[in-house]
Amino acid sequence: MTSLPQPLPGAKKLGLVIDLDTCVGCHACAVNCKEWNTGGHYAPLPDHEPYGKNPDGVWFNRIHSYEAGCGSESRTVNFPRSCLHCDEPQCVTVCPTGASYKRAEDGIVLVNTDICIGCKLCSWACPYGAREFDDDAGVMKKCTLCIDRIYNEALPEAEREPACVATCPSRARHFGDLGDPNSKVSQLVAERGGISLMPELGYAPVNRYLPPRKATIAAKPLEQRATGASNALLRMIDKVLSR
Amino acid sequence: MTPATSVLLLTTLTGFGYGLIAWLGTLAALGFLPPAPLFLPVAVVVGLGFANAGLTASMLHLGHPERAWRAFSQWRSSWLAREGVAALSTFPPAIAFATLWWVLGPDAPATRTLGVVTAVLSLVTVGCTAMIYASLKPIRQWHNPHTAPDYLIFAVFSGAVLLAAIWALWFGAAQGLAIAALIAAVAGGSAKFAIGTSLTDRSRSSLWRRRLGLPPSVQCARLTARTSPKTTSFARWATRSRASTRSNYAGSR
Repeated sequence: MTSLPQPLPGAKKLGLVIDLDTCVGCHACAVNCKEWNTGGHYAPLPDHEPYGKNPDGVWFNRIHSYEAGCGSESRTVNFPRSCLHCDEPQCVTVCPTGASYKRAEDGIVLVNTDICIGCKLCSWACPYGAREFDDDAGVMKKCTLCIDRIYNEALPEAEREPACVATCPSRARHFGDLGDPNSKVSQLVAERGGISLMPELGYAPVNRYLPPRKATIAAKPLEQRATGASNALLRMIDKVLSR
Repeated sequence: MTPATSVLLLTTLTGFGYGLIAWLGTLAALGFLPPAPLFLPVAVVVGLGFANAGLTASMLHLGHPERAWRAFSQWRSSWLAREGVAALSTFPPAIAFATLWWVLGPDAPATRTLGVVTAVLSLVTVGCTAMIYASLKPIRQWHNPHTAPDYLIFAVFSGAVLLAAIWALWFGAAQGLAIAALIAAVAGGSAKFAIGTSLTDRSRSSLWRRRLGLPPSVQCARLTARTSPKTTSFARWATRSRASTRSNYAGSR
């Protein structure tokens, strides 16, 4: 059923909070996502010409690096992009078959690849480019928020988080319940002024992005060479060391 | 963004087919069609042939054409499902309309009523096709008030051209129909011109940059070009190599 579910009272809204300030653009999240998911719920995630001129393939996580600002204000912003598990996902409602659906219990958006006809309309309806078409299988796939990790009782409890979050070396990715204002992730968003992407389109994305902090850090002024009538030896040492 | 060839075939061929059937139904209801017993059945078959060709073409781009039957189920939320339902439900009344014309004659009330029903369902189908595209919020070239009327205008135009051609082959040139097709052509051209002039507003993509307090990236490129003309070729090279690295890593399409 591609009509959106009625929100259950007290239902979770699972999602990610991504810190654009600390993300270093290392692609570890994309790699670990691929590593887990190519053996997970939507396995396999094929690649085409991975070492050729136009490498292509199914990646649920993609990172774009932007140069922003000019001169001393310039900076690199690394922007990881994955499914935002929107509250009003048009990718779900446009689906003619009922293959796309949003889970009422935790808000995760999934595709039933057994009935997907591969019309790709959902990829046109998603403004965030989160849908990934598998040419080999002829069906649409997407980020599952690692549904097969976060509820996986075979894993130690500490590892029950999405692969991208688990691997991030700069801890720029956080996973939690964004429907609960008291959760750690919600508080982080409140504290850092987290934003949602393109809210004007009305998709009500769940994931939040923490904006980069101010780029310049005020440094102490350089020490001045000692002048005046102090000790000649100290002046000479200072002159040598200041060279 | 380039739609698959099969989608382009779908929209143009079904425009011809359902446009023709809409003209036939309307003109028959008004009693403007010549009462030749075979003319309307043949023309309806041509129209359904075009519609069928378009619908078949649309299945070619599917990853799983054998599952296409599932696409009728979600008509409550999906314009694509609604299009499928409307497209198929036009066929039985259209065939009944052609049969009644042949059996009961053009002036029978049942024939005329079915003509109206067929015409309405044809236009509803074209409208549903249009809404598939008009409802896609991320694509502003389609998500605007032009898309739905333009699809209808172009269907009426291509249907008129097809009907004028069949009429001319059967009875010789029809001046009234040719004028109607010409008017529809002018309407189509004007619609195309109107949409071209309306799409000059600022790109949405810059919105999130502004929300993050970042200036639009174009600004920097302009600044570089203006202040350091000597490094332009280097800057161009650097930008190019950066862009290629980025697309390699991101695998962006």
